[in-house]
Amino acid sequence: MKNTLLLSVLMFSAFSSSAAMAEENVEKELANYWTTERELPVLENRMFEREGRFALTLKLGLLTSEPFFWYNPIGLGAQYHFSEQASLEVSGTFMGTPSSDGDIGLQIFTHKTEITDFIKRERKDAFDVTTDLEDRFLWRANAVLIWSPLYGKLAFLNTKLSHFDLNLALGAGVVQVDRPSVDHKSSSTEFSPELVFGGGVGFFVTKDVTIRLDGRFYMYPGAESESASGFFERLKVPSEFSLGASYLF
Amino acid sequence: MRNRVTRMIGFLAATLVFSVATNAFAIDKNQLIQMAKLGLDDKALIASIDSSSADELSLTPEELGELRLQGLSEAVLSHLKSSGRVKGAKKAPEVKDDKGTGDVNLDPAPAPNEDESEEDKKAREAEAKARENEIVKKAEELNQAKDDAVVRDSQLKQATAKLADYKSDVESGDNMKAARGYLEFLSLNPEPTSDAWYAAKFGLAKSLYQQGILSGASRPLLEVLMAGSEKPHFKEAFKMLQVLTRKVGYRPPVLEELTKLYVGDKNDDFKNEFNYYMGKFFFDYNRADLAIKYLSNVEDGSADYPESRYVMGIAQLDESVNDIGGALKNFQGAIVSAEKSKKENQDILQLGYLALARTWYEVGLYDVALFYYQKLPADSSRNAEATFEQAWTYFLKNDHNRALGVFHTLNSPYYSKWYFPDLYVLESTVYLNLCKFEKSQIALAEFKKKYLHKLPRLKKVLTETKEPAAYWTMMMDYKPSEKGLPQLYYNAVLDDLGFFNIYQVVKTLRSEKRALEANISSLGDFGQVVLDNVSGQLKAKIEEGGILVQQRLSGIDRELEDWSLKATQIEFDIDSEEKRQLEKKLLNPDWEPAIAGAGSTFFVVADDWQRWDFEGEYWLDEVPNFRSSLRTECVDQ
Repeated sequence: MKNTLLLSVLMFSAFSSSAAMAEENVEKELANYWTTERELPVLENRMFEREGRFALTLKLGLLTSEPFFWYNPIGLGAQYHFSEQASLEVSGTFMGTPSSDGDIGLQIFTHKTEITDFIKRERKDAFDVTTDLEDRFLWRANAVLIWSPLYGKLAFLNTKLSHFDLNLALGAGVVQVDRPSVDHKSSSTEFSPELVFGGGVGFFVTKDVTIRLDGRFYMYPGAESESASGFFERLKVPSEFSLGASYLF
Repeated sequence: MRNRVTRMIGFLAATLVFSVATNAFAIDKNQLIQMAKLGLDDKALIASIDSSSADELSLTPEELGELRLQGLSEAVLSHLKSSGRVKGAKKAPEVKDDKGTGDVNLDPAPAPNEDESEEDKKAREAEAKARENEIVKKAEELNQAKDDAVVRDSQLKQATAKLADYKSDVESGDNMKAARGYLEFLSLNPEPTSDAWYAAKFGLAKSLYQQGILSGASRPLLEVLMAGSEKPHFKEAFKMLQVLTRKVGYRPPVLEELTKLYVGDKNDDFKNEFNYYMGKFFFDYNRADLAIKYLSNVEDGSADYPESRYVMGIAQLDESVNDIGGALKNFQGAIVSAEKSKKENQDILQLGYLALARTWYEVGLYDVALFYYQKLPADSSRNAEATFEQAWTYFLKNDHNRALGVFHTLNSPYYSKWYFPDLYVLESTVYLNLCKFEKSQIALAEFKKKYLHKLPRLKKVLTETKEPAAYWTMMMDYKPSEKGLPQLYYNAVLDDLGFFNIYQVVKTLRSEKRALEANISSLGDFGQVVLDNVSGQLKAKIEEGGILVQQRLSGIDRELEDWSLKATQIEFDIDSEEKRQLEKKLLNPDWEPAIAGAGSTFFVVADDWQRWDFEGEYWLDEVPNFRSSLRTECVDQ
């Protein structure tokens, strides 16, 4: 008897909820036809769709914000688009190898600035690039969430339509640096965590290929020195611009 | 003893009412309407009424109102009332004979005959005795009734004293407690003309109204309204009536009686509301002349003014009035006042533009019609209808490029839910006119794919579904599937105003039923009666809705069969025209397709315009502005 009653109650609640759901569904459908203001998406049949797709990106950057070195980071990234507006990207860039014999050696992606050359000229043989200067980036890897709230098209010279999106990125990563000791007598290779933020623009070339122009800021604690020993005093924010091409699978 | 009996006889003679037994045949309300329509005069109708017994011809006040609406004269209606054929109406006293006696024989006992035999004397005395006993019995019954009345009066007095408490309950929102109290009071049958009766009826109506039991509130509310406009709660009751009409479609014909009440002493706001309500009431009953009479009394600046102008405009388009100029003026008035109203009345604004566009379309001034069609905002539901009508307008004015642009607009996802079967047939015709035979065929193929290929599923649904309630359930529980009703046809039903209105009423009745079921114990027998009434109404509305769904789907079936025939005709035309064009080309080897400037549209592009080619994306701001640049390929143009 108790079971029957319970069953009846359960059946009644299931019926009530399904009736309510049906009513809700009809209401929703009717709203299409009987309202003075429909909620319409601004865009239908989006030409360049990315939702649910993976992308692989090859990029080459320019990092010139540091006083002693400038870099051409080369990188590779993998991206997954949860929706047309949101994605997660994991990427890494390479800039150089650890130093040896007091010099940075032959580096393709790392270059000395004029200040470094000047110091070297002044100190002559006493100059040691690994201990006299500051951090030198070797590589970095990070994961960022990318939000693309803006999608649009522009008329290129009024002859060709070009589609683009603008995005914002925020994430975290790790950077490996060649770092001098506090007394500048020795150096070591160290890892440092970093906060990554920035933005970018993507131009859609075909349904599968996108050209990307990104800017990134990396906030990390730099080398400790006599003048900068506290965490906030050591904070550095190098900036990087990169040009890349993505292929969507 | 003799005196006592004589007094009783007099008393009885003055109070008892008798009925006349007549030979009767059955006649009902519909037959009366029929007879009136056949042109029978009042005498004939009255004779027919008299020949029918009160049991057989018994009308409610609502039915009486319906008879009035159907054109029966006041003389006939008065006769119905006075002859007791209308429930609740006072029946004119009928006198069986000139002595005015009842079923008690009050004739004096026969006088003794001089040559009366002993037997006759005994019989006479026995008869006199029996008569006396009967009179005494009746007198005792009357005394008992009098005593009962005294008790009832006392109870009524006590109950009347509690009315103030019930009123407080209503004001504090304790609706069911108040309703129970009012019902108790009314069960004591207070005098229907008394203030207490009026207060109780109003209190009952208000408590049920506040509780959301609108159908339950309707009957007492009607009684309060009919009690007169000079009564204290008339205005408030009228406001409640407006809500009832809007939410549950409560507008019985008897409400016409409200026009007999004097409201000239009320404030302007009320008079405007009253005029709008009565105007709309007559409009709903297709009585355009009376609708216009009341609606024209709604003053500019009042809340109902935009609606009144719009409804009046529609009434003026009625065949019996046919005042197109007046209608156009009123639609414009509706738009201007809707724009001016505090919270811009978007509904009337859009309806006004659509009405103006349609009227100008009917008049044949297509450019003016297009101007108003384009006033409908893109995010309005009505925009789909307006855009579709624009396509027809461009088609009729031979502006093929714009017509094709509008077809393209209507093919965008923003309009994918609408049922426009003629769109493709129209598109195909335009392509045919431009001698674009392949495109014409493609449009027809699309029509068949989208509409005709699904038709067998619709026919199956129509064959297998018998009961109206099943159609309603099908709509309510709809889930798109490969076997059931195709979504396109389901959408077409949703787009039907009749369905939308019935759905709203069903929704209100369902919520009312839930409210009643939750409070049934408080309302007792009355609650059960109202609940049965609401359940009945709900069932009837669902049946009505089901019938409407069935009719709409059957209409779609027939409509598509027609369009299918037209499509076949176009296919035939395409074939023959293609052959004709080919022959002409062969005969005229120098012919070349027309270049810019050809076609039916002179395409003007302003300096600040920029051409954006369609690449597959539909941007909301671009959708209304598509243009085709196709040129005719017809040899003879």
